[in-house]
Amino acid sequence: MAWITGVYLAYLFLPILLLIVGSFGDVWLNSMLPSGFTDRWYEAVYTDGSFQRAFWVSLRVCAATCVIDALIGLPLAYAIYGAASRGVRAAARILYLLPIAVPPIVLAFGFVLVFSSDTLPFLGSAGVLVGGHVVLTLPYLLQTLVGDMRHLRLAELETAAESLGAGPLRTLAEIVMPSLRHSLASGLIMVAALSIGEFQLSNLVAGFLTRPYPVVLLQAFYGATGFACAATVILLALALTASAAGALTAHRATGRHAQ
Amino acid sequence: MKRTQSLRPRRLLLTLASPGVAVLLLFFALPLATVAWDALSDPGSFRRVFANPMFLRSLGGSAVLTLVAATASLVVGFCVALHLSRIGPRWRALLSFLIALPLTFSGLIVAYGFILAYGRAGLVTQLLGLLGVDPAWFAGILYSPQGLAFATSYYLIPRVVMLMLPVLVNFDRTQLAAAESLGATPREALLHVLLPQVRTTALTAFCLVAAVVFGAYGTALALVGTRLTILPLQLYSMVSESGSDFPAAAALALVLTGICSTVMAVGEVAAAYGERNGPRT
Repeated sequence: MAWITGVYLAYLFLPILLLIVGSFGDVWLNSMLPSGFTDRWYEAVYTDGSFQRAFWVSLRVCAATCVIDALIGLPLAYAIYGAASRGVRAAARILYLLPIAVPPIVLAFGFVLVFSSDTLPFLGSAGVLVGGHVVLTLPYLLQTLVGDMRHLRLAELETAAESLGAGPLRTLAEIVMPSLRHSLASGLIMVAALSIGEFQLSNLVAGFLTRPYPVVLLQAFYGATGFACAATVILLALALTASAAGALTAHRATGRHAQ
Repeated sequence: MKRTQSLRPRRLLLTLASPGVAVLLLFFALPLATVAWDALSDPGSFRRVFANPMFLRSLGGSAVLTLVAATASLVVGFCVALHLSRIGPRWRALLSFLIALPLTFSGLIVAYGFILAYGRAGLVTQLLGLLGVDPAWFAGILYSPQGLAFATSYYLIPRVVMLMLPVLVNFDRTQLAAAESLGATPREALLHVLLPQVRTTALTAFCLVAAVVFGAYGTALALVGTRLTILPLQLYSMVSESGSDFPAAAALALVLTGICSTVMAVGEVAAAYGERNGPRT
């Protein structure tokens, strides 16, 4: 079985390695590997007006998505956990599956229909884009949070705190929030990574001035190889940063549970 | 499993849930209901979709893509997870981290990486060219549904590994040793002892990745453009071109959603059934 893992890892990392090599290669035309070393492609992406704007749009949309997800996700997760009824649990289970059961292209089409109407003429605005990212990422955050609440037996902790005389607000501030900070952090890192890389909904929903990075990146594929590689590696670096941060948070969280 | 009941009154829980529910209603339920309304309020919309010769070709392309990608991902993902379950926890943690990386990648990242590796002037294409493989023929595969299956498996295999790994790690391997001491070959032991215990999870994983790949268009668009005939790309063309038949597009969107949801539901029902009746692993 080891050889399958080996071949699989080669399949996994060959495209990434070629992107990095290509982004530093001066000329790459029909040869196996590029010739010459340069950083001019990164400079070209950095000074490109539409890439600059897209980069900041992506970061802002990502930040807004994380904040809104946290603000509405935490109370919703708490409500799902607290409602012990079977119906709520089934509804939550369906909610977790929705991002896959309803393809993003279908949701995007729904956005086109709803937000280009006369009553809600907001298609192309950053707000609608953030709304889309929120519903695409919220299920992942909820699943992480509710899972952690069950794992920690949060209700028992609360009962203990209140039987010792803590009021609901104090329990929330001193028991609930501190217990959940690791799963909230790792859930939000996942949300950030998904939002930064999101293409399928944004491609149809974003306006000309609110196009996020992946949507602009697609145009670069038709240009010079080095430029396309450098522009892709930047997105790759953001995703890798998020993955590493997520793994470190999860590592610290398991350390905490083991104590 | 019994759990301590929450102390919180119902009204408080409803208040806490309401902002999230409102956002989901506005940005999820309303768009989806509008798509359904657009399709159903025009009586001819579904007929026009099915009468379009593109539809059957796209459905066929999507079916090939989904079957090839989901089967290959399940087989490779299972083998990788089996290997990971047999190595030390430190190596397993490191390899799991590396294998999970694609889950956060945008579909576009890999599309361009695959063009660099397997495209017309790609590294692998040229290396194979030295061995006498026709580069034009080899690169042509990448732009077919089978080639797209090869590329999208990049995102699917990690999902299979992450679902299978806990089951395989918890599998008690003394059962295999027992079967082998009773005269079974290692292959027979795997087939008759291990496989029955993991097949529910395998079916769930297969359905999950099949639903993902059936509904996705990002990688396909970046790799091939809209020339490839698969259902999500047909829908994308209909939505992005101005002056197209929106009720028919809505009907097509419902068909796409119906197929993805059904495939997901099969996996979920299998998982629920397995949890109740199957051997727990």
